[in-house]
Amino acid sequence: MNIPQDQLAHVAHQLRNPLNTISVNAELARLQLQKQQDPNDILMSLERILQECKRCAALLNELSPPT
Amino acid sequence: MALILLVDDDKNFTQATGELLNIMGHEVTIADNLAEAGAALSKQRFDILLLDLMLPDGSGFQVLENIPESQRPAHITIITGNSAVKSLVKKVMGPNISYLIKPIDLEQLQALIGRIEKKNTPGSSQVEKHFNVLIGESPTMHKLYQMIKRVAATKANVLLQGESGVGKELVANAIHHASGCEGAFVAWNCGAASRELIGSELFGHEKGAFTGAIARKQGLFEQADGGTLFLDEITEMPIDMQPNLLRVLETQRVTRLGGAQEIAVNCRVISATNRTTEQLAEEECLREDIYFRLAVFPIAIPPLRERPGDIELLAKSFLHELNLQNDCNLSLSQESLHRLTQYDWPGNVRELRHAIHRAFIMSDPESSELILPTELASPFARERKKTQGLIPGKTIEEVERELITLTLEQVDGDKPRAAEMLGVSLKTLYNRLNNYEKQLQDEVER
Repeated sequence: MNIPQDQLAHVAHQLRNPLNTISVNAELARLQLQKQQDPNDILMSLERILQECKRCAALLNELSPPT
Repeated sequence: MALILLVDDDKNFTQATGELLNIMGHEVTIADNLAEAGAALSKQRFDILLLDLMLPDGSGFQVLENIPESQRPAHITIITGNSAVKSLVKKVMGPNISYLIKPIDLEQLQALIGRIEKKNTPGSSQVEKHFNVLIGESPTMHKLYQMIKRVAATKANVLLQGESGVGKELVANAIHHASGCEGAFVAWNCGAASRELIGSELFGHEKGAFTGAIARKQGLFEQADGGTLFLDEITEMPIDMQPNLLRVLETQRVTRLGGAQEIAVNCRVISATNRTTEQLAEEECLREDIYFRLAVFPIAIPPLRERPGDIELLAKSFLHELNLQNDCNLSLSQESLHRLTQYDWPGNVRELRHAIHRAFIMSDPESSELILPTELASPFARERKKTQGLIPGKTIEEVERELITLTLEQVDGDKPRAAEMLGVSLKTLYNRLNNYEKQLQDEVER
């Protein structure tokens, strides 16, 4: 499969934002657990991680649709 | 605890980062776009600005460009996904900006805030800022603070009078913050726009109102709705344009140029001039009717030479800011402080700030002391030889001698004029001077 370089660069660039959000929410969830905060807050952080994972998957699908 | 403004349009990111920073013990305000960032920055001064460069309504650079100097956060950090942006930003904004590279983790955040807090460790000169912006503990400044507090509690328009460089915009800012109003602080210099544009700037225009009016524009009065409109150098507004301003002040309604509908506006107008009330009346640069609308509460801001006790505080504070921005640790020696307090500062606080900045650039960053230039004086003033003044314990003869010397200096040695000013005969003046000469000879011989 040949993917044009510029398309690869575009997706790589686009992936940074959801990855960033996943990173920050994972850090937050860890801190919330350590500080024994409300489980609902921790669930919210995890929910945001899942949403961003879907964003990543959608971007990757642009490059290579699932078979 | 740091006051942090986080500007990014990705809500999933800002919400989590905001909570993370809260858990770390900091107070966070979130702005999703350029407009919200501008409004937050006009309301309070943040310690740290965390800024994404890509915003839905513009670029993060526009946020940086539009921050008033008095509201500039002590630390600015750019959030970027691309480390190549670093060198680009460095070229545009200078070296004193830090970066968070996406994906951001806790370690990066802790390292950044740790670096900033280390810079702010106690021991470095922290001077109290009244209303978050004003520095000075002299009685005249405390009187000013009291007036700011009083007028802030009302809705009255204020006219600020003071020499150039005394900090009129800072006082306007202080009133705005002390009032706790919801709207923005919008500052404008009446001398900065051409005559044709003044109306459009103040009142806005509708699309097609004149050639070049390609879109509808909100005027300054609308932008400052619920807040404060600061009109600097009000006397620079052409006298025939002033009735338009008067109408808005009286009716609290504006009509955009080319528009038919009146829009209600509710903002305090703070105007400023470097002319005294007498000059305003004599020079006829401000219509009488508009003066009474603007100067419901006039405030005179004292020149720096009338509060010499504050020179040290101001100089230390300016140096502290420069040290923080440049990661240096320069200090002022007693001798330098003495020189600074001996000088007249005709350009007031602005001139002092520039003098410290110049000296900072010239000083060796590795050294521990700020080196002042040999000549502080600008072409606008001369160094004052300060007398000790009236101090109990001095003899009448000593005070008399001091007064005669000063008067002669003032009139460049013109003895008949000095005698007249002193209210003595020329003969008496000569007798006194002869006595002083004799005393001097006796002292030398002894």
